[in-house]
Amino acid sequence: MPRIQKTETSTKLDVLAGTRHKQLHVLLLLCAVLFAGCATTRPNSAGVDSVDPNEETNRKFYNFTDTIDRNILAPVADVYIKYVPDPMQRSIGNFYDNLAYPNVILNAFLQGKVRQGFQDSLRFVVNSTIGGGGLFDMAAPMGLPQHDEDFGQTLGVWGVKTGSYLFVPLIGPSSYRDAPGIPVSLFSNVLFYAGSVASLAITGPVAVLGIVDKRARLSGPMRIRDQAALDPYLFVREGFLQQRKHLIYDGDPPPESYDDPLDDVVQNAPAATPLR
Amino acid sequence: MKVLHAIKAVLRLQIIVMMMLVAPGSWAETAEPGSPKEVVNRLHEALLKAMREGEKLGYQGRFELLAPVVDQTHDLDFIARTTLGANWTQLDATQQRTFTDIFRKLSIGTYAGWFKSHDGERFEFVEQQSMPRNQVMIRSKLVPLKGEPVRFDYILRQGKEGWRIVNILADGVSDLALKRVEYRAILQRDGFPKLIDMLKKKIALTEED
Repeated sequence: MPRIQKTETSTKLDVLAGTRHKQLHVLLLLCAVLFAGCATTRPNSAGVDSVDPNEETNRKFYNFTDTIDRNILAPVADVYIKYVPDPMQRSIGNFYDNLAYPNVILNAFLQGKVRQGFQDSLRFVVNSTIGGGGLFDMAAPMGLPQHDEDFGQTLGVWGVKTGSYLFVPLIGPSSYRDAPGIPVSLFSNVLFYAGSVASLAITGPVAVLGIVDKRARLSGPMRIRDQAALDPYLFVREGFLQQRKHLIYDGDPPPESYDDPLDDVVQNAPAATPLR
Repeated sequence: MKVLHAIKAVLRLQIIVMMMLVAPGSWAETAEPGSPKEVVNRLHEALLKAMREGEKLGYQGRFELLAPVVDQTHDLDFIARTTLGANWTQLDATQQRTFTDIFRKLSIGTYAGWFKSHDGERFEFVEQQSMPRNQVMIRSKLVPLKGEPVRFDYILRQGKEGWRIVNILADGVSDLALKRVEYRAILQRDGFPKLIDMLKKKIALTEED
């Protein structure tokens, strides 16, 4: 089955909402990345890609994350995929989607999708109650389908430009426009508040399982990357940026949003640099 | 080839029968031979066949089944050229031929590698849209029995041989744009022989399960 990049963008961010300590860590990292990014932004000169002026730093973060992924997360996710029965995997996935769903509701309203916002609220209530705390998606058959919204998309709808690309260590591909969505999804995740009610002995393992679930769901796109990419960093970057645009238009972009590769051929024809 | 002709003939007959009998609005209704919609339809039929008979045919069989259809429905020379952008003109004629040839094998091999088993999937036509530069977009989706559909949008342009696919967007991700960025970076960084070498390795990968 060809599944391309479908979930590459739904990064592992919200599951990192495990413990207070982790949250702080993530926020600190985020600040570090953002500031490092700002400091190294420079005008578009020869050799610097305008969408990725921080490519050097981003590649380091990508390689770091990839090493951790290949050595720790991927093997764990492979075992999970192999031994946990599909229906159980689905329920576990539903559970974490439901915990993170307030983010979808919030952003549906922020984008002015009032009707969808109320439907999403109802979906959250239905799945949290008769759906067994989110384990079963009882809302979809009732005509309340799952939507995909986040703060980065909201900023996009509001007209904020993508800005430079960012690869956030351990979290994944992002951009100046999408990075503010990381804390928003963190604070709108039910798991974030569970920490103050339940003990670490409960929220800790729940958070860890959430990371495994997210990674397992990314295994399809990761496999495509490994099979197709000549330069995995660029493959992830381009795939991410394009798919974000697709999501901002809710999967239905207007014809004028199509980036015709021919434009580029025409524009850059005289400026070609000699090949090695 | 005989088999392909037979399939084509049957398809054509079906189209005529459907046009006569079935209510308007169906996929086949406006799919005149050579129209953008029909070109995409032809590719989809071949892909479904490759999936249904995937196991029996094996990789090589699927490759041979798809090769003529991909050649007839895609403008592979144009795609190869556009992928390299301005770098294309810097290659000599032999290098251009080498690249086009490898690119063709990779494109067909990618189809043969991905469309290898059938589990009730079907293609659905969504709509046709006009695009700048007299191009046309055919929007469709691959609907599996379970799970989310995958959007496949095709950009077609009219060349000497009629309408041909020049780009594919899978869930909004443009194949051409992705390759363009990668190939250009590798050409600039590592040079032409290295790019060809990497592409050959990728072709070998499509044969693996």
